[in-house]
Amino acid sequence: MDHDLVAAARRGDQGAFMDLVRPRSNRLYGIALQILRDVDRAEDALQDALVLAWRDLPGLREPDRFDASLRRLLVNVCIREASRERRRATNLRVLPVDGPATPDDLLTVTDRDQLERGFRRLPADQRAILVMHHFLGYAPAEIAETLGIPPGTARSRLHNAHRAMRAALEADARLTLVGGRSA
Amino acid sequence: MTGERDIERVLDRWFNERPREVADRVLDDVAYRIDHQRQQPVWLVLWRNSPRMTYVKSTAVIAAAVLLIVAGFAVLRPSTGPGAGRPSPTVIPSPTTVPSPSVGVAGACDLMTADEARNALHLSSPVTRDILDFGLSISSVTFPSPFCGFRNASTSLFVLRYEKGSGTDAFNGWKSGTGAETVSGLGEGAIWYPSKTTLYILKGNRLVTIMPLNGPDPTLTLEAAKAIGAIVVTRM
Repeated sequence: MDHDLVAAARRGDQGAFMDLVRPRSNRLYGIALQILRDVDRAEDALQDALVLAWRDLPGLREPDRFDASLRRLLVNVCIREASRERRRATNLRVLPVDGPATPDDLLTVTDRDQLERGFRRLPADQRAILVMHHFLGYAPAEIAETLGIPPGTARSRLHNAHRAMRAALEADARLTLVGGRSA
Repeated sequence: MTGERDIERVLDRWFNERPREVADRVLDDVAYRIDHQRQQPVWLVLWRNSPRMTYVKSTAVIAAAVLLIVAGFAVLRPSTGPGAGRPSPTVIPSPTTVPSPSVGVAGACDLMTADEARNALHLSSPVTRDILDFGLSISSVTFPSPFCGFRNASTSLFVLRYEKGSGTDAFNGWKSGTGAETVSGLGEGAIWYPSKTTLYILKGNRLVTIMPLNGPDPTLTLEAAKAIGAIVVTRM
């Protein structure tokens, strides 16, 4: 079914394209939101990626690769957008540190707050790699394909991203400790 | 929370805590935008996205930049002040016919024939001409003397550089330079630079430069340059 929709969309059928992206939109939005940590920017990034996907769809040689190409496009749009955000060094709208949809005894509110701050300190490409691995469940080989880098590089970048995240959390914990004592 | 396995477990949990739904208006906007966005043809998409095409594009950009630099150098080559560029030897051998005297000739090649150069310098060996003329305001002609009969093993006698249209400004620039000596009897003004063994002659708004090809050359004396200038000035 999707194969036919992709073929129709490639021929310029806008309805077919929207039928293709609608069931995928929440997942795609989740990717953008996880990388950018900002509702407005995530929505903008998703829109931009979908319009780019539409524009370049005739060049998609393998319809089976539609999902992969869409995610690749979105991740790259998000990395570009996140890089801009870091350059501006401003956060217009921070995601609320809300609780899980279901009761969860693993992460406390403090944990989530630390994770949020730590994640925001990471460079855009490290954020994207963590999201691809932990949110999309990508193996390093899939990350490599998405970012257009060698698998070995993807593995080392994933390792570095974990290390950077851990360092960010530890730094945050130290700051919290010092702040608590001085208060 | 920060061990190697812990951090992975925590991130797994954190990233997947709460599924979020995209607002309908986002997809409505996408539908509106693609209605106004034409799809690109296959060849353009492939051309833009192909890594090989990226290489080709980079090469094309570099080639275009080099062409621009070369063209810009040919057009905007500085003509005033010490250190002005000298013309390159050229590859267009010209016939040695005598040009008819005129005012404001088209290019440097009309100023002097090879035979006239040989006579002015009292040479017994043959002299030829290499012309650099792109039909622009500046042109030049080099007078090499074939060495041992081999065309490629030649010694350059001098270069005639001819500038139309902006000669006065260039001449005044040279006139105010250090070491300039005024030479009388040539055109409306002439300047000799002993340090560069170069003679500048102004007539109207046209400037002729008689100079060695590769830096100061003691064989290009003021007398030799004046002899050349005396012929050239009648055709400027």
